[in-house]
Amino acid sequence: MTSDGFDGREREKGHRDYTGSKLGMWLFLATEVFFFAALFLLYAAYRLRYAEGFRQASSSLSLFAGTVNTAVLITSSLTAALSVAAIRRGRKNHSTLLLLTTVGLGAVFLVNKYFEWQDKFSHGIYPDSAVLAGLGGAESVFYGLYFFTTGMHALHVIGGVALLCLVAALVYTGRVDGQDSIRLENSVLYWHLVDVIWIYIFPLFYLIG
Amino acid sequence: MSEESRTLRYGAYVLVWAGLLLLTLLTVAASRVFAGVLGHVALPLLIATVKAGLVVFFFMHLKYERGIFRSIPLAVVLVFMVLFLFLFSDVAFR
Repeated sequence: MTSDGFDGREREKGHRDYTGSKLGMWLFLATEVFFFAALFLLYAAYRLRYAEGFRQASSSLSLFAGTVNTAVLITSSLTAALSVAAIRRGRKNHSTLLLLTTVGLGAVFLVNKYFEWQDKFSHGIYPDSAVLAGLGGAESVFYGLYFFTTGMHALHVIGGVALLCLVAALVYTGRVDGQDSIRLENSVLYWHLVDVIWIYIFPLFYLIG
Repeated sequence: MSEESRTLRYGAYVLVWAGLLLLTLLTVAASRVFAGVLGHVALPLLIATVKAGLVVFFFMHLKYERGIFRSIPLAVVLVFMVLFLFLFSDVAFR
């Protein structure tokens, strides 16, 4: 490989700008953070107004499920970070396995979330339900924020899972490797962000009850 | 040589992971032990920020990246603080 990163393979793919790619990814992540920051600000404003109602509604969420989900995402961040370390050491199969583990843990998170939501639905609590309308301002706002925030987060988890599956295929077939790992690294950065967002969702919705 | 920042040893990532799990247990315990603003707001959010910091600096590698990368999360935090301040200077006095 020449000093500017070109080799025969590079010329087929075109020039890759490692730093530029990574910078672009961080900028994109910043926009994602602002999206959730807006939701957190909304939460903060309404929490101030409806402190007691929020506390009551929060106690109806399963602390166990929330804690397990937090542990699941933290572990998935570990396996994702390790997959990058592995590819840098040229360990393609390790890296692929770690990525698939990350995907698996993401799936566990989603299944857990499904059961949490299902529990709420079975009590007639879902966006725009009659039960919710009858509960009064505080609780309906809490649940509205809960469904929207965790729903948006879950969409991000699904997107991250899809992305990681794609990248796992690229790693396994050798199209991403230690010399050209930016697509893996950026995908893993996205996954870490999904974890960081949940790290804030958890105390805000689960720990105030 | 490209400007790629080094990765950590596997063990370092595992250590950070263990710390994150510990902090998770700590934050749950704090919310059960302490009541009111301390236990339900201040401590959990503080611990959450420490956890987020661990993920951002070690898993996302920001500690080992050059300054321009660090300026992005910094800018986000600053803007968020401004938004928070302005929102609360209104909402808190209604």
